[in-house]
Amino acid sequence: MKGGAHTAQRHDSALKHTTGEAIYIDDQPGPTGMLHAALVLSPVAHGRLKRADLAAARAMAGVVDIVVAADVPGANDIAPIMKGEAMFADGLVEYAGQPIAAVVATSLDIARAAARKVIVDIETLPAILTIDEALQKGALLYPPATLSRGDVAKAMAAAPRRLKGELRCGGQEHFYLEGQIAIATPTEDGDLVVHSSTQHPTEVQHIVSRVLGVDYNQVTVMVRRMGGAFGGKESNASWVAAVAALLARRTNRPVKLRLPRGDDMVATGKRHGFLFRYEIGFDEEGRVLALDALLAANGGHSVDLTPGVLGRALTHIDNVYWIPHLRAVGCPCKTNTVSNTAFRGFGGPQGVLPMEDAILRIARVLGRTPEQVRAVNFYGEGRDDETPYGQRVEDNRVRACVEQVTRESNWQARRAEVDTFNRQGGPLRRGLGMFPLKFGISFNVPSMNQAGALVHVYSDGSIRLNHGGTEMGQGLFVKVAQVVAEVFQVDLDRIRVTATSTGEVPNTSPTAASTGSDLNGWAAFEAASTIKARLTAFAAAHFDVPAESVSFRDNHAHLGPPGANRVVEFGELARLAHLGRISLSSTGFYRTPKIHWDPVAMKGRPFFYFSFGAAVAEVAIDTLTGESRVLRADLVQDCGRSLNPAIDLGQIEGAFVQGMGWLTCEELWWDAEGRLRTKGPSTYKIPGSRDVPPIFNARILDNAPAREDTIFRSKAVGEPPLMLATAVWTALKDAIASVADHRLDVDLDAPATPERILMAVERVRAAHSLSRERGEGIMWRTSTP
Amino acid sequence: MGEPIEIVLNGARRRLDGVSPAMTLLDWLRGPARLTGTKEGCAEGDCGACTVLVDRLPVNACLAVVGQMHGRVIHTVEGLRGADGAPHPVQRALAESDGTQCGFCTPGIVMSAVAFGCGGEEPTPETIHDALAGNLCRCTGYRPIVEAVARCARSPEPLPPAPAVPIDHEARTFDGPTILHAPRALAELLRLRAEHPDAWLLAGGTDLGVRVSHDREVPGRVIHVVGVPELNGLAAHPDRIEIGAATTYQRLLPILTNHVPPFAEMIRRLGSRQIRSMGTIGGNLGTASPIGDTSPVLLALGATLHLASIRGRRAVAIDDFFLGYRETALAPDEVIVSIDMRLPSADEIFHVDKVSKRRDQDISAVLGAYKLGMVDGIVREARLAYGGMAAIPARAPHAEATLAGAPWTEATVERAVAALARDFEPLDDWRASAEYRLMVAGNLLRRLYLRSAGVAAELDAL
Ligand SMILES: Cc1cc2nc3c(=O)[nH]c(=O)nc-3n(C[C@H](O)[C@H](O)[C@H](O)COP(=O)(O)OP(=O)(O)OC[C@H]3O[C@@H](n4cnc5c(N)ncnc54)[C@H](O)[C@@H]3O)c2cc1C
Ligand code: FES
Ligand code: FES
Repeated sequence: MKGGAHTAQRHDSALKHTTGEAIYIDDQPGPTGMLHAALVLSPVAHGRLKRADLAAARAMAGVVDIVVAADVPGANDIAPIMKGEAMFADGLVEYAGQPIAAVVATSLDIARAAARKVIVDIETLPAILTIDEALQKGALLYPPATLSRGDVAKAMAAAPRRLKGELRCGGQEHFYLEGQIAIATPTEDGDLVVHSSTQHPTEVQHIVSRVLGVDYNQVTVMVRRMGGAFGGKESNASWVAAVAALLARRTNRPVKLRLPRGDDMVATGKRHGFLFRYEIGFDEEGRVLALDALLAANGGHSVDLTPGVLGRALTHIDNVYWIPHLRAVGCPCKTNTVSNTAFRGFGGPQGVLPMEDAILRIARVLGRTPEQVRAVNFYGEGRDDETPYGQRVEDNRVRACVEQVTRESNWQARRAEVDTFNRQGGPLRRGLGMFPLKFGISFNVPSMNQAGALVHVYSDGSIRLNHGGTEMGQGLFVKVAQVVAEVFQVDLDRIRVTATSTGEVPNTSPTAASTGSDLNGWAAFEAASTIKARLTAFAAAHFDVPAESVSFRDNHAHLGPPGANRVVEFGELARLAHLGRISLSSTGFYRTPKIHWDPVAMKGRPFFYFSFGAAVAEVAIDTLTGESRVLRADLVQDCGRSLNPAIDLGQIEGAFVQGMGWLTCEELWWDAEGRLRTKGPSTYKIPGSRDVPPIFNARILDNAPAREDTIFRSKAVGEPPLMLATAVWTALKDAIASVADHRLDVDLDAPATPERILMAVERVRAAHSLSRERGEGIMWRTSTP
Repeated sequence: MGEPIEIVLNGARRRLDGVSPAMTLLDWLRGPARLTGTKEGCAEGDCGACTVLVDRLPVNACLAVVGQMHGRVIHTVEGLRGADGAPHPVQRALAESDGTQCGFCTPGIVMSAVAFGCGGEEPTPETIHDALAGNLCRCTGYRPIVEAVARCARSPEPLPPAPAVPIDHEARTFDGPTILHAPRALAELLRLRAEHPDAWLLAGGTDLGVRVSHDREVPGRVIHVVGVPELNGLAAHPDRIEIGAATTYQRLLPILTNHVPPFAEMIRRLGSRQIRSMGTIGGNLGTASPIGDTSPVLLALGATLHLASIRGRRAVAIDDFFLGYRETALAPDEVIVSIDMRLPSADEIFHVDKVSKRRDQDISAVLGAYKLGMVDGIVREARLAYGGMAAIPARAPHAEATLAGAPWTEATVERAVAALARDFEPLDDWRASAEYRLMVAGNLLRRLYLRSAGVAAELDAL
């Protein structure tokens, strides 16, 4: 049998991708009479919306309808968690780029031209644009959340050594290559079918229903594939679909809304930028005794998914380190910018940064290597293994990952080589950095950890698989199909995975938090196993053999003990079972066991298990321009017993490069009026092929089946490797530190653009020459919050 | 009156009846032609999802208007399967190497890879990244794509055979809502220009195409200049090169590589292959952007521009060409015919530096070009020109004066660096702050000195 679990299988659509035959929503031939929509976006960041003059736009030939907040029949509310987040600005405009109206016309060009003719009258109000301003003015989306353990004040005071740090990281645009899009088609009785490029069809269904004021059963949402999503097509896809649905409902015609790249980038949320301030207490060995940290996230103008993101940042502040006394306060800052949302890692990538920053500083102060400091702080085995939120770190593989990556990267020799290179002086410097990772798997909200699947076996033995997960390029469809192939022991190509639809599997969770194959794999396993049990019972009765002697192998049911040579081909068995009036269709359902979480106390067991990893990166910088290159990266990622090593490797490499982009070249830039000016690939630079390290060794941790009962002992892989890119940032800091002979701390905010690197080099250089002039040896310098 | 646009599409001749010549090729392919394999990822020339082949060169379909395509041979991803229906080797290789995830970037990458195969180049990391610089992939991390492209290099059967259906190249006017003229002689071009000073003068369209595709502007009238022979000359003389204004970067590169390698090095970082297939040097000057990359180089080399109108011809020194922000010495009825560029001589130090956030396919934060005439270690003449440092591409008079007549030493360089602050008020925007740009402009001079002193200063050499 070909294509079972743990085999390297190609993406099911790979050849269709390369031939251009894979159909994305915008490629579908539109239904007859389809109209096209365009949005009117606010030009200002904060203001009172006094009037939208639609007359000129309405007068244009081809314009069919224009809607504003007042035209929403249900609730003008697209909030995914809380309540009261406007789809169209109603009275108040809260960010530049906020939708105010939508135009629908007979052609896209007419719709877009008409949208430009809508004149909005907004009385501008003072806007809060940065985290600092929000903190100063106490502008929060909801009260701060605190994760704490022990007695921080006391432990800090008693710590032999203390230091403070401050650090910022920017947000990140998803830059899925396929922009947001939905087509809504009215059917009968006011029902709608919505094709949406969404990671969360059920939420699209709910938001569309809420906006239109109809029942969920009137809205069917479908998605076959997305051209990338990365978290950007969770809450944002929902309102895009709801606008299309509203226009379809009003015109009673199919409506397509596809956001042009610029609208997509200004109107839809991104990864949260963070500001961190911390104080850390430690001993002479570098052992961390206490951490007091502020994590301030730029939530944008509305709550959106910020509680989840900030919660995950807080629960990843410890990363792989045992911190006996801890207080971490998460502040959800409200600013007049686009509402930030899910993005691969969901707060994790930000959350792990401060400890790495602290470790580099501790190492310098103590004259140790960061690797030594990390090692003394790793969670213990059997002791010192409880996270600040109360979950024990079991089956800890961080040491295995670090050992493997140290060995494979040839760390010791290269450390010496890099130092020798840097001792020559000269304008070019090299740096080496490491990063170990622990990442919790499960949605932080326990109720979301459930999934359904629907499997049909047809009477020729071909199989149709449907589940609640969505395909965004991550290879979920092929992985879940492998699970079903494994259950039935039939070739993978007997299984057809079909478009995700709220009509087939209801009440689903988003495909997010890396849980896609964990949850849907189990659900499909359950569905397939139910059918398999029926087939087994049928075969036993039909062929008059004991049920225990029926087994499935190699596209056949075997009806006796091995060697008995009584077999029936799978398709033939299906045909017979159908004649025998056996149901060959089943749903399957899964809920993740063991998890529980108290979001107020921030205690519990939020994660079913942890995924581990480690990375080493080498960089070079030009100290005259601040330009940098990543010369080599070595990664080791725990995938449990990988369901599909080919797909998993692709996730590891792709996530790493995406993380690298976040930490280096991808910079979101707002002007003084709060308008995003990096709103296209001409100004917002994601990594290109040359930016990938020329030596790039990504490995799956060997021999590491999950200890928990995950699907075939595999582990999630979508998000964790993104954080491995933190090694690039630590390597950049190492390279910059070499300018002052590693005697000074390096302040380096992310993204480490050429400008930030050059400025960091200049600061270090200036402080270094100052300290040399004064004849000082090591200069103790840390930034003060 | 207007004639129909005709192209050869995937081996078959196609007439584009009733299509406005200002419709983008991408909109036409995805719309009326129902060929949806070619994707739109940005509509501004940067993502490469829309890459098609035009006369076997990769081109951004989002930036080209169909009026420009008359008589040209176009291949899209749908046209790659062999006569037997089998996928093209590149399509197979990319699929087999796990080079696709979401697949949305893939058709564009396939087309760039096919163009690379057609070009018969040696597959090295350098050539492969060069071939992929115009294609973004957000999913894969590129490693498998690079490997697949390497495997398909110099592929023996790069494309289905081209058909023997020559198209009448004489067509001169196409109309729809937009009228597009394609003059075939300079006199005709100049007459049209004089008659229609408000018409868009279109060369490669890599600047103007953004206004059509991204900003959705609909020009009333377009004069497409590339069919005029006088604008297409390209001649190397012992001490200078004459370049027709409509010469694309792609055509220019070999001659620059031979005669002015630092200029060629920079051109390899101007846009991507897709941009360089279409973009022209005349267009770069016509745009007159403060961050246009060729302008500082031409300023440093002291080029002469030959302009023409029905009133006659004139030569303008590049020093006198840029007047203000996107404002030039061109009269409304004038066009640039050619650029005359003196080559640096053996006793001149000549170098070009481009600094940008991302190495490939990015607009410069700072571009520096320097030519120093040296005699016995003394700088006799200095021409330092920068992009990104002012509202126009400009020379640095104070820094130049500091250098002129001084010995080429670290101390001299430091004085010149200090003088730069008096020369410029740099741009301050999302690409870089004014402070950074000024700092880098000075550091580039320091680097020039280090380089001449033999210090390793090339990041890309590591
Ligand atoms: C993705 C992308 C990347 C880019 N990267 C770079 C880069 O790295 N560096 C850089 O400098 N530029 C870059 N550009 C800008 C552009 O490619 C160049 O400016 C190019 O040289 C323009 O040439 P064109 O022939 O395409 O111009 P067109 O768009 O055809 O014309 C541009 C302007 O020049 C005028 N013009 C054209 N020919 C003449 C003539 N003969 N006489 C008078 N006026 C004329 C036109 O009227 C128009 O105003 C980039 C553009 C894109 C879309
Ligand atoms: S659509 Fe992005 S380059 Fe054309
Ligand atoms: S595969 Fe998704 S963008 Fe390349």
